[in-house]
Amino acid sequence: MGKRYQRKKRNRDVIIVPFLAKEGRVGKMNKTFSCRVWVQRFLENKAIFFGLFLALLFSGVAFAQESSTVMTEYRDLPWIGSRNAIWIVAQLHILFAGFVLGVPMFALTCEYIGYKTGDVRYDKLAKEFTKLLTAAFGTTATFGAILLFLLVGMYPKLFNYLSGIFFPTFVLYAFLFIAETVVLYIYWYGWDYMAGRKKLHLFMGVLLNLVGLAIMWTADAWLSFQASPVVLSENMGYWQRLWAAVHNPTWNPVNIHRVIGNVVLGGFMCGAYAGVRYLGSKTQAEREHYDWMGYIGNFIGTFGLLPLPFAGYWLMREVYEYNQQMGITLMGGILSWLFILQAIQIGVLFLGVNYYFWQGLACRAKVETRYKKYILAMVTVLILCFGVWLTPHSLVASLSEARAMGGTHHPLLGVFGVMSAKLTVVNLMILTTFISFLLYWRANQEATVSWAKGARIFQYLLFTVAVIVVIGLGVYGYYVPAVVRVKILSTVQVLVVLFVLVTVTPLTALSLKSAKITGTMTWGVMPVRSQYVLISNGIMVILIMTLMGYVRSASRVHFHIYGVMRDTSAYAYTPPIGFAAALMASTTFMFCLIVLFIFWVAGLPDKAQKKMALQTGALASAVGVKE
Amino acid sequence: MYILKVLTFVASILGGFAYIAQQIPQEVSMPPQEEKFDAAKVQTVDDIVDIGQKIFFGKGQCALCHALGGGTSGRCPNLGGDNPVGIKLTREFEYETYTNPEAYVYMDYTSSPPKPFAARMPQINKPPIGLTEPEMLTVFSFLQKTSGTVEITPAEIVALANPDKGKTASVETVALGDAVSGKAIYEKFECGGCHKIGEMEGGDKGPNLLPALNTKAVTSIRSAIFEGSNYHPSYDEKMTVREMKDILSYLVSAKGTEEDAAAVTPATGA
Repeated sequence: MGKRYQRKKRNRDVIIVPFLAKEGRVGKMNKTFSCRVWVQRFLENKAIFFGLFLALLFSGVAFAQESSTVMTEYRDLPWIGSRNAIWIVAQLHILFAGFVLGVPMFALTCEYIGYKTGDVRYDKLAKEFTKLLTAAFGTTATFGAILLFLLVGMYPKLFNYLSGIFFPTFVLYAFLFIAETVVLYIYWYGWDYMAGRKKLHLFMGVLLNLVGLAIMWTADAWLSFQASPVVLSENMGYWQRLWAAVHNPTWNPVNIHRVIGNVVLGGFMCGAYAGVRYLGSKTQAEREHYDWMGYIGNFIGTFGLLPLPFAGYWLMREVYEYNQQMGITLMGGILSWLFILQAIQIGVLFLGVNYYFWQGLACRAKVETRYKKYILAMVTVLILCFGVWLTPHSLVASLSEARAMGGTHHPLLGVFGVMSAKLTVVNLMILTTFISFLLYWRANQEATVSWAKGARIFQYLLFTVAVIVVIGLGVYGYYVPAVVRVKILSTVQVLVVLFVLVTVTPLTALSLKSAKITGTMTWGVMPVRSQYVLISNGIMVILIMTLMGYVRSASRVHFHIYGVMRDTSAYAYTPPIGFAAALMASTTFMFCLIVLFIFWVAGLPDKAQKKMALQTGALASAVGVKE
Repeated sequence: MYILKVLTFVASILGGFAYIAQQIPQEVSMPPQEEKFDAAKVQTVDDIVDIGQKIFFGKGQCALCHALGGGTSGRCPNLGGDNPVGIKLTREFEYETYTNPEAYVYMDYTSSPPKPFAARMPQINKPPIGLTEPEMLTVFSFLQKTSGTVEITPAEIVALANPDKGKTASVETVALGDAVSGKAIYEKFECGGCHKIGEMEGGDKGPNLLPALNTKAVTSIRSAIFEGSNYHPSYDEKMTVREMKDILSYLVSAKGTEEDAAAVTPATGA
C-alpha cells in the first residue's frame, strides 16, 4: 500500500512540476519517468469518456499530443478561434447540465406532492418532464464530450495541469455519470412499472438527485480551483493535496449557488415550456393543463429565486475574502458593467414573476379589484428598486455632461450606484415578491382558525419591521467602512429577510389549513401576454446563467488558473462587453433552438398516439355506421 | 405558426440584451506585459525608476488601489499628496508593508475618528502579483523619485538580482537589525535544534550555517527562512520582519566571530 502510494505521488509530481519547479529538475524527472507518465496520461484521458467511440477519439488526441507536440501549449481553430469555440460549447454544456440537474429536483418535488395529495396532475407533470430529461441527457453528454475534446486539443497545457491534480476526481466523475445513467433509466422506464410501489420510485428519484448533485460538485471543484487555487505544497501528501485543491475557498459557495440556481432553472424552464404549449393548445382541456403547469413552474422557480441572491452574495463575499484584487476586478473594475446587465435581467425577472402572480389574481381568482391598490404599490416599489439597482456607479456621459456633473459620478444618482443601496433594494424586491406570492396564495381563501387575526397582525408587523431594518441598515451603510457594511450590515439585512420568509411561510400554511374557500380558481383563462411572460422568465434565467458563467470565468483575467498559470495565448485579453453579450445572446438562442427541438422530439410519441386514437375512433365510428 | 412567434419573441429579447450591452463603454482589457527583470539593463538611477514605474502601473497592480498625489482613492492610502511615502517611510517599513501588510495597518485619518481603508493590501511578493525583491526595490525607488531623491543604487539592484555572486552585496542590501536580540530570537525559534554555526553548539539535522553564510547572500537565507522548502518549514506566519532582521544580524555577527576564531586557532595551534 505504501509503495503504491509513493509511486502515485512521484508520478503526479512529474505532471505538476513543469509549471512549478525549476527547469533542470523537470528535465531529469521527465527522463526517468517519461514512459510511466505516458501510460498514465493515456489512462487518465481514456477514463473520462463514456463511450467506446469517444474514448478512441480522445485517446487518439492524446497520442498525437504526446508523440509530436510535447511542448505545445495551445492550438487554434480557424475562423471561430479556440476561446470562442470553448466558450460556446462550455456554455451550452452548462446550460444543458443545469437543465438535466434542475429538472430531476423539479420532477421529484412534483411527484412527491402528487403522492402526498393524491392529485394525479402532479404525477403526470413530473413524468412529462422526466421524458424531456432523457432526451436532454444525451445532449448534455454530447456537449460535455465535445468540450473535453476541445479542451484537450486546444489547451493541452492547462488540461495536463488539471489532470495532474484532479485525476482521481475524473475517475469518480466517470463512475458517477454511469450511475446517473443507470438511475435515470430506472426512474424513467420504471415509472409505470413502479406505480404500485411509489415509495421505491420516489427513492430512485432521490438517488437520481443525489448522484446528480455529486456530479455537479465534482465538476465545481475543477472550475472553482481555477478561480481560487490554493497553494499545493510539495510537503503535502497526495490525497491531502487533492482535497486541498477540491476544497478551495469558493467551492462550497459555488456548490450551493448552483444547487439553488438549478431549482430556479428547472422551475422557470417548466414555466416556459408550459407557456409555449399553452400558446399552441387547441382545446380548453389542454389550456387548463398547461396553465396549471405554468403556475407550478413559476411557483417553484420563484421559490428558488428568493434565496438565490443570498447565495450569490455569499459567493462574492468569499471571492473578496480570497482575493481582494479579484473582487475589485469583478465589482469595481472592467467587469463591473456586467453586473449592471445582470441587474437589468434580474429586475426583468422579478417584474415578470410578480406580473404573472397579479395576472393570476385577476384572471384565475378574479379578485383583482380587491388587491388593486396593493398591486399598484408593489409595482411602484419594484420599479423604484429596479431603477436603483441598475444605476451604475460611474455614469456613461459625454465630456460636457461630465463637466456639468463635476465628474462621472452624478451628484444625486451617484448615491444609488454603491453596494449599500443595491443590497437594500434587492432585499426590498425579494420582500415585495414574497408579498405577491402570499396574496396569490391567500386569494379565494379565508382563514377560519381562531388565531388567524393575530397571525395576520403579526405578519404585518414583521414585514414593517423588516422593511425599516433593511432600509435603516442600508442608509447606515453609507457612514461605516466597507468591511463593516460587507461583513455585518448586509449579513443582518439578509438574515432579517430570510427570517421573514421562514416565519411567514409556515404560519400562512397553518392558518390556511382549514380555510374556507370563498371562490374558485378557473384554469385555462390566462391571457396570451401572461404566457409570453413565462417564456421571458425562462429566457432571463438562461441569460443570467450565461452572463454569470462568463463573469466567473472572466474574473480570472489573464490567468487559466488565477495567479498560478498565466494565459499566454493570443486570447488572454478580456473582450469588450458588446462582443461578450452578442456571443452570449447567440449561445442562448442556440440553446433555445435545441431545447425546442427536444420538446418537439419528446412530443412525437404523444402525437402518434393521438393520431392513432383518432384513426381508431374514426374507424370504429365508421364500422359502427356501417353496422 | 405560434412557434415562429415564440422564436421571434425570444430573438427580440436576446437582441435587446445585446443592443443594451453595446450602449455601455466598450473596453478591451489587455493582459499586462510580462516584465522580464533584466539586471544587466540597470545602469543608472533613472533606469531603476523607469522599471519601478512600469511595475507600479503594470505587474504590481499598485495603481488599481493607490493614487499618487493628484487623484484620490478611498480604497487605499494616497502614496503621493502632501506627505508622500517616498519621504515618510523608510525602506525597512516599506519592505514590511509589501511582504507583511497586516503587521501595521495604516488608518484613514481624513475621517474622525480614523477608520481602516476599504481595501486590504495583498502580500505583493506572493501570487497573483508575486514581485521579486529587486522588483519591490524598484517600486520603492519610483515612489522615492516622485517625492524627492532616490537612495537606491544600481549596484544594490544588481546585487539583489544576483544574490549568489557575493556576500558583500547581501550585507549591503539588507538592512540588519540588532544582533543581541537576534541571538535571543534564534534561541526562541530553536534554530540551534537543527543547525550549527561553524563550531558553535547546535543540531545536525540541518546544514551548518557557516558555509551557507559564506556562499549565499543574506537575502537568499532570508527567503529560505520566510518561504520554506522541502526540508525547512516556512516562518512566514510565525516571524515578524523585525525578528528576521535581528536573526540575520546575529548570523552575520556569529559568522564573523567564527571566522575570526578559525583564523586565530591554527596560528595558536601552530
